[in-house]
Amino acid sequence: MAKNGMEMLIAGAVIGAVVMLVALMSLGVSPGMTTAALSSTQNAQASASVNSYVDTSISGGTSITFGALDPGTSNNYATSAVTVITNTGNSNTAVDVYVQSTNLTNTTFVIPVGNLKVSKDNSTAWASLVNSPDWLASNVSADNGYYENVAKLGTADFYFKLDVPVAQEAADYTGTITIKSVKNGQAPN
Amino acid sequence: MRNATATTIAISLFLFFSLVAAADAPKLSFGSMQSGERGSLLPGETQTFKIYFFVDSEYGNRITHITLNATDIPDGWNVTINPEIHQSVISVNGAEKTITESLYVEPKPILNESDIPDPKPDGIAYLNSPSGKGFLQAKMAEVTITVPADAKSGDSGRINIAGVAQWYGDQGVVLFTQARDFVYTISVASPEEFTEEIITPVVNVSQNATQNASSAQPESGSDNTVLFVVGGIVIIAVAYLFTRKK
Repeated sequence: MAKNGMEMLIAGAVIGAVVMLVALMSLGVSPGMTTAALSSTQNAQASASVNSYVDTSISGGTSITFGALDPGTSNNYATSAVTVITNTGNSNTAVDVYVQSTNLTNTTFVIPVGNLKVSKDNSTAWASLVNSPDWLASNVSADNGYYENVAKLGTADFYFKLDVPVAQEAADYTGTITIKSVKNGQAPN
Repeated sequence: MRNATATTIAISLFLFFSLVAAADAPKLSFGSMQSGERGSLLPGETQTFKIYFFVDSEYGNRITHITLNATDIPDGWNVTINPEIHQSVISVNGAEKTITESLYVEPKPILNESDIPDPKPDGIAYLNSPSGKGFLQAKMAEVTITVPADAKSGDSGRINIAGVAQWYGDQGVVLFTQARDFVYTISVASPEEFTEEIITPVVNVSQNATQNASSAQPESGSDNTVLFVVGGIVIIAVAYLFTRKK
């Protein structure tokens, strides 16, 4: 009898423990059990840079001439019809094209740079060239080139004319026009 | 009949010489490839970058003379360019002329990969043109930048190499040149071991939601205790049943 009582007590304790366990789990409590993660995600940063190829070509001559001019004359066109800048197929970027010039000088006398003018189409919007460190179209800021975003294999036309100031001294004058092509969006220095 | 023949000959000669003149018309090409624009250096450290120059004979038929100058150098930083600017004597249409340049590049055709010489000639690099037509024959300049030994971590320097390309030959009133900038941005790295410390933790919405959900549940430590108690009872019971004498 005593043994049967003990067995009944043990059975009751086991049943009670199991019922309590089931009740806890049904309430959403995880009694110390965890499941191993089946997957995880980790991120790593990757980076690469592509080299910049810029190849621009001037055609129309190494220089421009205006011939023999009288003082006090204006709108004297360069003898060469047009100077063309090509962003060649060897570039891997579009380019912004800036332009500047020196004064026209000989050893003694000067024709100021503002008398040398440039146009994109030989008809409208002639602009006076500027000295270094300035550039056309606007100072040294980005995305302000005389030509913007010239695509690979694209071209940019330049027409030039010269005004000769009144009473300009007789002499042979020379100067230099500089064309700077930068990666699209980069500022010229 | 004679007049027609003479006219034909005259026109033919005119066209012939026009084509010859057009083929010889100057094409002034300035091609460059800047290999790398950024670096991260320790104080006192040095890094060398390469700039390649080329004249593809499809777009250029005159020798391009290039001058490189370092501008915009931050205080205390050191920049050298190889080759240095030097004087050269050239002959233009038979007349000798002394000029100043860093290097010159002659017009050369793009090559198929199979046409690249082996061994490669000194001083010539072969670059895969973005045109997809083959390999450009290029010369190289090196720009070496040194960070000051007393530079502070987090500092940075911007160095500009100003390139100017010139051509000689026709001497008109106004000559053309081309200019191009090669900009380098160098940051100063920290020589000390990397450390990171949270100063002000930020509690975001997702964290709040997680904390609110978990506050309604018993802690996992008490859950483990329940499991151990139940397990212990079952084990004791089974042991008693198996060991008791009938």
